[in-house]
Amino acid sequence: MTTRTPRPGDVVASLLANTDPYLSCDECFDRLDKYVEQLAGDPHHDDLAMRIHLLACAACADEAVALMELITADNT
Amino acid sequence: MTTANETSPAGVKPTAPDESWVADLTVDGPAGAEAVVRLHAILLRASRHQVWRLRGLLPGAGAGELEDLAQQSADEAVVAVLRQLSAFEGRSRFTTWAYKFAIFQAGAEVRRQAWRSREIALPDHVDLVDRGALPAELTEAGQLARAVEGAIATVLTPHQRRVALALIVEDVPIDVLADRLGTTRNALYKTLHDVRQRLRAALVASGHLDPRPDRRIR
Repeated sequence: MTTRTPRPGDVVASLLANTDPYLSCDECFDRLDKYVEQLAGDPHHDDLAMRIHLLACAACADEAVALMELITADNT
Repeated sequence: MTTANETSPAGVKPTAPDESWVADLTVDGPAGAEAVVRLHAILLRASRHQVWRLRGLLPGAGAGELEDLAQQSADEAVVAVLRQLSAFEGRSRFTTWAYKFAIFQAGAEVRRQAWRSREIALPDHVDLVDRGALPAELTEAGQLARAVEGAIATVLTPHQRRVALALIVEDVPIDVLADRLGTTRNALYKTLHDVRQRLRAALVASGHLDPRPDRRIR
């Protein structure tokens, strides 16, 4: 398995990202099903804490994408 | 959009209404057992989907190994769903709520497998600028990078440095790092959040960063 080496500019941007309001991974997991359904129903739906967490946490973001794909498949 | 049904063995789509799921899963006897079988089927669909979409992390794995991972993840997700059943409040469809447990298990298992034989670096510093450049030659971005290097060395604790650099520079998945360090995904995310706050505060104080919120993340 290989992983990419992040560019210094990307590292700086990530280290300095503003991740307020804080939301834990557990809280994200608790809210993920409702958030993804709302987003599926309205692409403009926003939940700032969820949006920021999913931008900052790759594992949670990946789960959100997978869940969205599944419920989209269910709805078609 | 690619779904498991297009790339993996055919899945089982949910059929029962939400109230039926919860009621059936809480009764004893054959009806309850049959509901658990149905639950396992939808969780297997979700875990297969997640394993197949992450299969690039396991380049040597064949279909059988991927299926084993999906089955194992679905088994663990059944236990998690039944344990958490009383927490289901109907804020989403039952199947959406249940899927996330299988996705969580499958993602964590794939990442664990992908990193199981890899050494995890816990660097204490990072070089973000060209060491040969003179201060006068640095661009604005280079000056910011040099300031970040300095702040990493001075305002972070050793634990914060190692966690942040492992996650951001070494790209170690957060759940893999949590396993190796004997901690939790929550704790590491909180550490990273604190790191970002400390670095931002230091750079705002030194005049290298605009205090206005910037939510761009690579």
